[in-house]
Amino acid sequence: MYTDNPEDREDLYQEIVLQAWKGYKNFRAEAKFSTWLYQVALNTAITGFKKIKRSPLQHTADGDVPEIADINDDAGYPAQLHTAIAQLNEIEKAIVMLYLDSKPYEEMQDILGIATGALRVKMTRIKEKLRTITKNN
Amino acid sequence: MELEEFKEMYNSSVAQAPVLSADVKDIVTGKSHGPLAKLEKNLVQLLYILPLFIIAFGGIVSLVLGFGEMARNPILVLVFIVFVAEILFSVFSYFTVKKMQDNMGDVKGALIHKIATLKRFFKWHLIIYIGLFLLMPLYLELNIHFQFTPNGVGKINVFIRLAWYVLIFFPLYKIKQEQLKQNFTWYLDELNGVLKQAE
Repeated sequence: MYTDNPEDREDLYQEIVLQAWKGYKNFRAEAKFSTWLYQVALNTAITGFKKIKRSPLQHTADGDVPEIADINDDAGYPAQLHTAIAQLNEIEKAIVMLYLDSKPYEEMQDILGIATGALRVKMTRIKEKLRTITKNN
Repeated sequence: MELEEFKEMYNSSVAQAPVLSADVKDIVTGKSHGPLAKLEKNLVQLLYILPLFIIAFGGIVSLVLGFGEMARNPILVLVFIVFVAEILFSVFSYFTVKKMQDNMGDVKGALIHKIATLKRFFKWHLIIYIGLFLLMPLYLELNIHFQFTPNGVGKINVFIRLAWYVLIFFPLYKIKQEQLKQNFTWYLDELNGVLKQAE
């Protein structure tokens, strides 16, 4: 979600593992371990990781750039919505990620530091935004 | 496709972590590749280079002029003050960068903490450097007033001297500002942008 190619994804994954390892001594079981790990991962992805700019669209062997709607990403999800999610801002992406991982709003609040009321409003806006983006594509 | 359908699809598939080409042991004993880690590395290098440079510079100048003459020359004293200030500023930057690499706490709280740290850093930078660039001409003027300057600088018209100070110290201050901008301002802008998204 925060990267657009396998190399960056691996770099980010490594950075998160490193940050979690370094920060584990500060984990004080006040929150669930998964909440803490999400905090570390999102803080790293949003503010502690610089993406190496690589083109998200790879040319095919005959030199054509494939249509977005034709591509399914490497996890097999429909590319249209995945591409739409990629167009969201950093915080919106985090909310979508937590939503997809079925996190309740209360836990989202603990992870993101945004009040549940505001999160619900943001979620509604994100859904509308994704609908508009996928329609336009 | 709606997000709800996408979620069902996402949850019915087996979520896989990326296949790592590096061993986890190597990752946790390795170095971070984030922008702040890179900046920290640069600052550490600077903290090794600057003292060596000062020692080498002082050594060469004292060999040429003699130590006593070097210590009496206000221009050379000022050059040393600038170098020492640069070392202190690098130490200050190093600890700020260290502090900002803490990725704990909720996302919004971490953003607020990082922005506050950076703003405090900017404020102190401004105070220290404005103070330094005001004290340096004052120091030179005191030297002239008490006739410590060896080469007749005091005979130059005071307004021309003031123009010199502006011509020398203002660009120096601007260079420092530019350095700060290249290293930190872009990051502050980025953090403010994300915080706005979280509001």
